[in-house]
Amino acid sequence: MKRSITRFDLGLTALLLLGIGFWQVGAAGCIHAKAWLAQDLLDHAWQRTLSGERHVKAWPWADTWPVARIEVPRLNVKEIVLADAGGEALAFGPAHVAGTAKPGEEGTTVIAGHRDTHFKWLGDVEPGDKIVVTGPDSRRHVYEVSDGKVVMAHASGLYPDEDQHELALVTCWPLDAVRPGGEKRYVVMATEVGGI
Amino acid sequence: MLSVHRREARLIAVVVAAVNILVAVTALAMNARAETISGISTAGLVKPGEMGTGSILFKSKTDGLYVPAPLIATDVDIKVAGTIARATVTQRFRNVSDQWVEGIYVFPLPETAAVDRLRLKVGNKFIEGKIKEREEAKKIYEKANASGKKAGLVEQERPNMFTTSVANVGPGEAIVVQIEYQQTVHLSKGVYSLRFPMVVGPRYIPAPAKVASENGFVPQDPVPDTARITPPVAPPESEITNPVSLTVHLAAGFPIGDIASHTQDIAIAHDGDDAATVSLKDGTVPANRDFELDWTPKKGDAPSAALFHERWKGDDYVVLGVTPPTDLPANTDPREFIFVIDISGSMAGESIREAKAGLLYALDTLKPRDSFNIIAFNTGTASLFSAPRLANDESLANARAFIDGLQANGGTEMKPALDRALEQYADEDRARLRQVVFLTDGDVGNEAELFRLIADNLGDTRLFTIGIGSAPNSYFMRRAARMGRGTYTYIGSSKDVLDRMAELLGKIAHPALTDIKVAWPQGAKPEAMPDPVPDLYFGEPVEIAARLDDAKGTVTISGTLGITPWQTTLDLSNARDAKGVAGLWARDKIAQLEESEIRGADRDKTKQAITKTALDYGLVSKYTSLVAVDVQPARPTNADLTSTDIPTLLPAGWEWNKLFGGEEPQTIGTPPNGGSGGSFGGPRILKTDAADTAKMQVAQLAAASVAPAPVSQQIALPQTATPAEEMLLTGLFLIFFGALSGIGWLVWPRLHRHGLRRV
Repeated sequence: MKRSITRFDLGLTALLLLGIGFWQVGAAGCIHAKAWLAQDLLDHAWQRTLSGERHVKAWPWADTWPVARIEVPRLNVKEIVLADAGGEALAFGPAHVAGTAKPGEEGTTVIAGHRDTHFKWLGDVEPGDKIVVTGPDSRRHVYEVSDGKVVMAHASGLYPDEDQHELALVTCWPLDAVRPGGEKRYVVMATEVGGI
Repeated sequence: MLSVHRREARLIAVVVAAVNILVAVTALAMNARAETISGISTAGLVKPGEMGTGSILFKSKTDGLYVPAPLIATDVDIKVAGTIARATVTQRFRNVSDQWVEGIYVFPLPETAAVDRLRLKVGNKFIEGKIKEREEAKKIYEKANASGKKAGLVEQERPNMFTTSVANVGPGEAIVVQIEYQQTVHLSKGVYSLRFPMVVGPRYIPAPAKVASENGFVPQDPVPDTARITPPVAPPESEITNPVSLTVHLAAGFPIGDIASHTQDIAIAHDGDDAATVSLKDGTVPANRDFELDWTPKKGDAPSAALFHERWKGDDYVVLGVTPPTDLPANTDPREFIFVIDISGSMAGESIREAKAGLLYALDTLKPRDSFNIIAFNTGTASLFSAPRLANDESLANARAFIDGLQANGGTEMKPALDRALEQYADEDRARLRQVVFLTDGDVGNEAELFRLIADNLGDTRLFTIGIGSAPNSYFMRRAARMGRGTYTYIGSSKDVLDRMAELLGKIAHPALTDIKVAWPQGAKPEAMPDPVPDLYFGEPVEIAARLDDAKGTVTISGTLGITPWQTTLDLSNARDAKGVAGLWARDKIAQLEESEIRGADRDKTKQAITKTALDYGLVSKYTSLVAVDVQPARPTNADLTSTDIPTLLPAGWEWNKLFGGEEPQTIGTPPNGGSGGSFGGPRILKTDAADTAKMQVAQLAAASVAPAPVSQQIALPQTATPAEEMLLTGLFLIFFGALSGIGWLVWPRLHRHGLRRV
């Protein structure tokens, strides 16, 4: 005889759906909480970096350390930039892409950040905005935004051996997509206009 | 009781099943979305077995069935009276399929054409087209199209690019569309010339960049109407020719010396001293090379001025042309030359050879005190020197080697090249006259963006454009030169290169005619175009169109040639009456309004003014179209209509592979925008030839991925988005249906009891 659905089946479905549902929501919350909390811890590590320590880990098991601070005064943004933009570093802050120029060095400094956490503000940046990047030596490099463009991740149009002092801020495109994993990137270019 | 229990259970089962299906569907939909973003659609591929040799096919409404493109034949009849030409272009669409089709044909006309008439021939009667605002015309046409009526629509995509659509062409039927336009004959250094373009060269569409605009910082497509200006191109091995026949009835108004065409073989029948009929020697030619006709007056019979008049709707209209004296010595002050050469894929073949020859010739004319530089561009930009250098033996030898090494392929990213050409170096000698000579075919789709760049950055530089190849984009060339306060030269064939280069270099070596002023008779209330009159180069006539209350008295034109004042006076009563002068004035007014928009005038206001002028004078413009509709429905309502683009030819001398596939393009310098995305409007082509499937697929792939950037040394960018949002949405979705199931679980006993009671 065919077994019809019982109250037990329904209860089980409810528990399962609710369970997975809350787990997903919780995990999403964790990502944001981690992103937010880490910056707080990193602030402390950054202060120690500025006072001369190198490779300061914000927590004992961290695999990255602060290398710069980025500010956009108009948007009231102030964030700590981490070394090497691997998956791990990006969960905690914007990261300096390995192999590109350090802030203030000749070449293009590339900093990447998640479009839904640390670089959520990138879409609001406008040409003419000032971006200030502070290096571990406490020197402040002031950049002025020139333009923004959408490129493919593998054909960024950014080359490691340029001779201008430029800053490229990178995040995923489109900015409001739900799913991660697109091929396109949004790049904001800025040119160094001075230092303090 | 049992039955009721089962019914309730089934109900709940349905709910649970629905939840599961919904979850599954959502997941699938999300995956599908991801695939359409990253994947390449294969929808355009055709099974070769379904294709006939030598025909181009389009998908029909029925899956798996294809419709051959309608064939088109064009006849051109041009009547020239003095310096005014009136042309009738007859396009004959033939439907070779057994389906009802709509044909859409993108074709060029001279950039100075004032299109004022459309007639649709159905059977033996002509239906006259009416001028309407563009959207309204489109609506009228679509309505006729849907209701089975025959209809024709002529729209302007660019001042030199138009689209004809014909609706409801029956199986095996032919429809004739007739378009008429007016234009002025070009005069330079005593040579009169008339050009009829025959093909729209495939336009390069640059990659979109995110740019600043009034509304903040938004991604901006440089060519919003890409789909409309990139018709399919017939591959070289197809048998499509789009044949054109052409006749020019020339009434020069003076004894004719020479008549010649550098582009086609012509037959000339003289009719007295000052008239002749010119036709194509072979009857028809394929529509893949522009037609150009030159004529000169007999020695000593050159008219000093051309003056035409028309009275139209209570106003007087005049067009006039005067050539300033040409016996002045050339300038000997040292100058700075920036040569810019286009080495994109569209220049491959004949064009690049012409351009190189022209450039080498120009180098030979440099004097030791002149300085120069050469900028070459395709997807990227490269320059010979980092800053201009004096033309000594060493730098000239470097330049010749540089030119020798140039090869044409890749994209046409013109903006960075123009940017660099107009860039002033801080340590430059400001006293030097700076002249940019720009050799290109201008086959780009982002004209407006480039005009703005020129207008904004010109400074004291002068920009001279040289149109190269069998079908350059003359609209771009002429307008760019005008924004650049220079002049446009057209090199139609390799035989002309040296002559035309010499002509241009001669022109720009002489002082220009500046500060041109026109004094109209008292109380004439003139509205004259262009206003102000731009500087003119050696041998070019002052050309003015004006609307006057009353064309009586004299008009005086004055200017300064170098340091010498010049002036001349014309008596308006000597004007010859001619039809269409009002239309020519209106066309100039529209051009002037378009230019003011590029220079920053309010877009809504110029749109209004252009629309009003175009409607008043019955002209096609970017905001107005001509539409003609038959009264009788022709297509039975139960028959489907298939819409087909009509393929255009590749301009003569172009190399198919350099544009659409085959070889890996090489780029120079740093490509902008990551070098991705830009492409030639190209093969949405379903290619032909049953034996040739491999090539067909090449064409398809080329369309999907023209990405000429060298990718190896670029910085790869990391993944920069978290799954947080996706997780949050999925989670909330699951919680919602979990809660629903939970409610089911809670109310279960009550439902059960309820069921018991009812039994």
